[in-house]
Amino acid sequence: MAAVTKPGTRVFLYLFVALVLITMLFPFYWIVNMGLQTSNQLYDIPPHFWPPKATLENFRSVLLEERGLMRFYEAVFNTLIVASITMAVCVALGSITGYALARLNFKYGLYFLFVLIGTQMVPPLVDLIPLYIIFSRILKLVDTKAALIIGYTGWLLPISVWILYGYFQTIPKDLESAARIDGCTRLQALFRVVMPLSAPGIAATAIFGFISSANEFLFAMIFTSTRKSITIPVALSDMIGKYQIRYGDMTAGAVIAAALPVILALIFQKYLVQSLTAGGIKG
Amino acid sequence: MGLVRTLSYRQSFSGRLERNEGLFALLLVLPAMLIVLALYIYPLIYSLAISFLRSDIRYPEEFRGLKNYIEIFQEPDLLVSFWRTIYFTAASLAIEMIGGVAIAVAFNNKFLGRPAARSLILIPWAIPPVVNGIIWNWLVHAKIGVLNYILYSLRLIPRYKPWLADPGWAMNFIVLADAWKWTPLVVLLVLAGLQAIPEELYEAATIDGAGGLAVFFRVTLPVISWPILVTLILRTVEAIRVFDIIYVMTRGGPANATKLTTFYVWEIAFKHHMMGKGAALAWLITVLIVVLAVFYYRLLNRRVEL
Repeated sequence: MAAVTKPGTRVFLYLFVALVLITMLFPFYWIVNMGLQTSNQLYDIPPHFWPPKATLENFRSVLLEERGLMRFYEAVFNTLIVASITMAVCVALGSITGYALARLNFKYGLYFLFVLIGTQMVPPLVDLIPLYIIFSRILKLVDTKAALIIGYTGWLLPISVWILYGYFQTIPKDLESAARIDGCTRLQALFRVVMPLSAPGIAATAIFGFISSANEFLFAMIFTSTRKSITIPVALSDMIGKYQIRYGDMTAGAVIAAALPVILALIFQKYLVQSLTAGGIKG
Repeated sequence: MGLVRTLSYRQSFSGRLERNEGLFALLLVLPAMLIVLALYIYPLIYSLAISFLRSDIRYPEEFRGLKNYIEIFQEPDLLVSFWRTIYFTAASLAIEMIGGVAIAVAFNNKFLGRPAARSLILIPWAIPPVVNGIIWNWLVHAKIGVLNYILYSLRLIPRYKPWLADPGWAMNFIVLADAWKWTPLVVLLVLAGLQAIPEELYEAATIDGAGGLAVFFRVTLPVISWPILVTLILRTVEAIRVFDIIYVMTRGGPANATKLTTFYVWEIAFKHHMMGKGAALAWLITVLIVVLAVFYYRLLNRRVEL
């Protein structure tokens, strides 16, 4: 990039970056700040920009105490299960599919890629209505974690294939040919050579799948109703309408819901950014 | 005997896989194909079929032809909801694209702490949409919202204001909350495009005497127009189907001011259980998305030719 050298421009650059960071971070900081205060402190005017006596009481009570026939930690548990299994399935199927499309001479591969992109144009509600009819009347899957896992796999598999397809194309073909000459079968070449080299792409796909399915709301709201399957976003939204609003529950619950996705995104940001942008740029 | 036969069959099968690349590829792709078929293609056709039916738990199923579609066009607020959707999409995309490109251009410079800054802006992107809605609910809260406190302290408002109870403000705060979450993604996508621009291009432009703005419009913008198009399509599709933050922040109110078309689909299909009409409306949204995608594509092609 053209180096910005004039001192005036540099000052402006730093001011702009500072402004961007404050805008991006303040709202999240604020909910953490609120989560660490008691309900009474939240009513103080002026509001506390720093928790006066930070307490984890809100977190304890929202996680462990019963609220409307369930406890929040059960929703956390459901979310972890649904997100982990969805992630595993998407990575496994995404890898072999992406590999076949990127590397093998396959007649209809290109058409399939177009279909995969096309699926992303369809608003989820179009598919949700028939899926709800099928899941409720025929498969009897309403209010199960399986319904969420199946739904999320269908939703995220095309993107997973797309990301991994892009990644596999960056692995030099020679390495695979060498392994094949050394006597590896096709599957061995895939699992022992291509997949290990693609670890960053696979990690990114996994994290992307995990975050997306843990954060999903509309599908989960329609398909879940009890402690058996309710996920964190649904449990949180239930706090807004149904019962008397407990500020502590909502702030602490929101922080818990955001914690894992945010931590994962920060740890794996390098891979995530690489993979998300690679798919977008190559188009 | 049976075991031997199975083994030899297996060997010959794996032998065929080694020789026949197409067969091997088909086997690898098959599970994903079936899933896409079962969870996208089949429901898509199914929902088109439902959209011509009265599929309602209160009545037996009945073929209605285009009546579901006609009914949609007879409901004034449903039609208004399309305008709301377009306003929401245009407003949030304008903020995201202009803000995203500006931030990306700034972040493309070297400055102290750039790697940290680039990681940190991922936080809004990772936050669940429901939490995003809750956060903004608190920020603009009528009694304890920090926005009210700041504006009041600066004497910009005479008293605390219930922002989400005002139709116009409610819509604009939903736009803002959406833009806050998605601008980082635009930054990342555009930034990746910017980094593909070779240094020499800028040097050449500067030697030719081009100023900062001219460099941006003549060098930077043409190169990143493809990532911008991709981002625009991605974000349009997402913005048109926005649901979560509306559900959390306003439930479509006040006075239907934030009831976008997607919200109506949910309400018609899952609150009033009129699946047929819901499916018809969902299909109209799909058509809108496809029209917009074609429009963008044309627009970009024309720009490139100029």
